[in-house]
Amino acid sequence: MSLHNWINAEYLAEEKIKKFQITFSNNQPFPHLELPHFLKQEKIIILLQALGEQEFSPHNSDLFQFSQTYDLLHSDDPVLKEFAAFLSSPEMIQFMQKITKIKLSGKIDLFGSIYQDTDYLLPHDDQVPGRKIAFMVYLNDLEEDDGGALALYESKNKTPTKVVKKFIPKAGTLVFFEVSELSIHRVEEVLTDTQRITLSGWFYG
Amino acid sequence: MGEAMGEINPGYLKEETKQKIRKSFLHSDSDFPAVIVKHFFTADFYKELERKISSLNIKKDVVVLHHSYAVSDIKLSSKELCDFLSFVTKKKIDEINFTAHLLTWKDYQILNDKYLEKPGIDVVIDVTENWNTGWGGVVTYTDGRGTVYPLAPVGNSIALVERKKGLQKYFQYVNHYGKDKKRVFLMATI
Repeated sequence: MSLHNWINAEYLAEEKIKKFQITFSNNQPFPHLELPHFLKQEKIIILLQALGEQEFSPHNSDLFQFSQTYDLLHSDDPVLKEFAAFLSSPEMIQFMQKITKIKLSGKIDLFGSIYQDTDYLLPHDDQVPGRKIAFMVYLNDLEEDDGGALALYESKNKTPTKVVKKFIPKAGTLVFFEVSELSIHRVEEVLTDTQRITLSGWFYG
Repeated sequence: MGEAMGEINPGYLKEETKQKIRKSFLHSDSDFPAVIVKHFFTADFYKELERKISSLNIKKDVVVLHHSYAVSDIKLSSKELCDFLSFVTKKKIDEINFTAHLLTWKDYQILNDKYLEKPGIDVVIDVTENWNTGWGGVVTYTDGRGTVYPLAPVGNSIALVERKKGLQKYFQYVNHYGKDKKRVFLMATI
């Protein structure tokens, strides 16, 4: 599968990828990377349309409140099927491996999520056996006042202390980070009627 | 707090009523044995309790992966209260140490394997008036298998919850509609 179908061409130049390697591993508080305008604009639109046809179930626990689809790897929707195939393609896996220097198996999880007013995800590390890289693709724009930012925690002696970095969702942006005991993060509460719509999951190793 | 003032609503000190409360608590077949008694304290004592709480030196305590709220120890261990709890639970209670919890916007308590509670009886005294559950902040019990048991926030109530093995509790995140509001309750485990 050609990555050009989904990704803006600027991200596929070999020189860029080398720069991303360095940025990813040097980024604090733990290895991560934000790639704005990663997805092509026309793909964002069709993904949003496809997600609009999916069933979202409310998820509530001590840790979170939001709505989510079932695992989209099993979706019948042709656009979502193609997106899942793109993410798990050897080319995309190689792209992620080059940047992160983490060996991946090709297995992924993929879910659609909607956070509405008052929805949140409290601090946690995402650690589950096999999960190597957490990723999220934002499908719409939020402003700072809308809430819904992804917040990363700094840790001291492996204990999270404070938020040191935030990502405000922008359509087409890909954010990913290495899953480890240090990858403590949260999704801040959505404060307005603007929904936060994402496709997210994990690359396994 | 002195014992000159009658603390517990006299209606709940009658033998017949106490028996009913005890029966309701001890003979529950539910997976969540609990009893909530509303209008528990006398009006005067409740006012005094609110005053006492407002003068506490409540300090913010944050453990990112477990909780964010403010807490303070509070002395509330009169003979009247201990006798009542002893009667209802059939446990001898001479002293009980409460912790006042104050939750505001963005506060929470989540489950964490490092902070698992041993089985026991929780005593929750609610001191929050007119709290809307839509704001979060609800003391919630879970069996870890998807069943949750929220404790309705009712001012001047006391809840006794038998936390059996596997039952843990958390405090629901307080959202922005609870901004400028204060969720206050006292907790002890016997």
